[in-house]
Amino acid sequence: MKRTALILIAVVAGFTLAASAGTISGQVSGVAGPSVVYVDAISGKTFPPPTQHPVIDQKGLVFQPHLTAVQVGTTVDFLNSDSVAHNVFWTSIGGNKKLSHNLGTWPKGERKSFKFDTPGAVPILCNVHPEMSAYLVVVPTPYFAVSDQTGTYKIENVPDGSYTVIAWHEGAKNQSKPVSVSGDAKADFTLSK
Amino acid sequence: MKNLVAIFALGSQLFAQTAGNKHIPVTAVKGESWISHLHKRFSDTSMGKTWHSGPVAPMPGEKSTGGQQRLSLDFAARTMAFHGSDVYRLNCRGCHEESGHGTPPEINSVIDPVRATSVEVIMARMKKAGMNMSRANATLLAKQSNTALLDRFHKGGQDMPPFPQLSEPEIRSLIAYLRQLAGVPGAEREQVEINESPAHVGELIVKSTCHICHNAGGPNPNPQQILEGAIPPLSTLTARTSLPEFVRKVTAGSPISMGAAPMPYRGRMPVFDYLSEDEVANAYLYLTLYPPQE
Repeated sequence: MKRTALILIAVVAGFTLAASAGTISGQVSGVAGPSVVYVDAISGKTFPPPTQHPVIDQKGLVFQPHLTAVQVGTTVDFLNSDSVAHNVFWTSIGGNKKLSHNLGTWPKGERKSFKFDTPGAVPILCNVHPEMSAYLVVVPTPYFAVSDQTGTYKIENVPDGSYTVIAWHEGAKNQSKPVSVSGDAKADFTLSK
Repeated sequence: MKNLVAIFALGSQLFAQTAGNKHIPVTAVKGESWISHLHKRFSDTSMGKTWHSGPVAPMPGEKSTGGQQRLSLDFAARTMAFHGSDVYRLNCRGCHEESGHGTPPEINSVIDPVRATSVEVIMARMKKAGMNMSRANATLLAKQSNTALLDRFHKGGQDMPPFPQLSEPEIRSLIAYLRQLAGVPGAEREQVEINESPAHVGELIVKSTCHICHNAGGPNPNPQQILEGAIPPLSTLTARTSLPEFVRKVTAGSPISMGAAPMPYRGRMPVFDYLSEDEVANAYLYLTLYPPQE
């Protein structure tokens, strides 16, 4: 009897989980290269920041990767894998110039960390090498994805509900859309300058 | 000729003490070459290359023609007035080339790291990118880049040797020239003149240019080993070459005998036509006065 009850609970729980989360996928077009697509802030909901540190490397005089997205509160590690000195700085976060920061200049093999507590796009530059640039997009929820080069993206494990989904690209204006998730949902974006 | 060098050598030692490098005494070149240190082969690197070769070897029976040399009689006793451009020429150009662009990815350009030390350049760059930056922030960035640049001279890098043979006045004059080379506005007005002793001029050429490929010591290779790619050490140079031969070899190139049955070949050594004959004679003088060490 006890065992049957446990199985019943497990089945119900499993069914609930399967039904309550889905995937948002689609295509970002009108721009070249990858975009970030994310679920905007959900009122009344906060999410614990992840403990993992994504890495933005400087290798062969290029930032790698060129585009990174993180949930707000995430600490990012900036690495220098080149044999020359590199610098990392940004002049704003989400257009707010008061959030400009200079991480300094450091040699090969060393890393510097920074915790991003404000959502918004961060244009990352190196003072030593003006042709180097990267973007970090700090988003308010854990539901985000960086698309592939062709603009195809997939955000997994989004709980059922109604959201505002935003597409961001370094060379275009943001576009937002209401998306209702109940199982799998589709959302395509066409961005322009 | 050797006697002449010895006579002037005495005089030049006196000068070495009065010229602008009081803090760093002239010392002998030591140890393995930079490319040996990096385990690179001469044929696989752009380091120390000028991409200029000497004349082709003469046909059998033909006489090798050498140009007229115009060595100053007192080359070993005359203090030379140098600018940052000369410091660059003797120490940096062998790898970074005349333009400063080097040969990426093996040898990086000096231009961007130098431009990064200028507040004006940083502010102009950010303005152009539509991200105006305050002078205070640009000054901070410029300072950090300057520290990184100085570190590079003092400590070297993974592929670049350190330059302990450069004095602070030399580094200051070099940075002023690098800023001019990199197109930093107003840099041409920052150029400074420094006095260099003959032995120190020779030391800079040997340590910063010759020692990139030539080990200081070690056995002298035979003609067959030279044909197979061996590079003769600096320690045997003054014994196997006369001063005029050496000056010709370095500034204009001359054929070399190689092989089991030695035949004249066009030498592989790059020709350093941007060094004056007097400067190269000072390198010979330096090698005589400060014999290379293992």
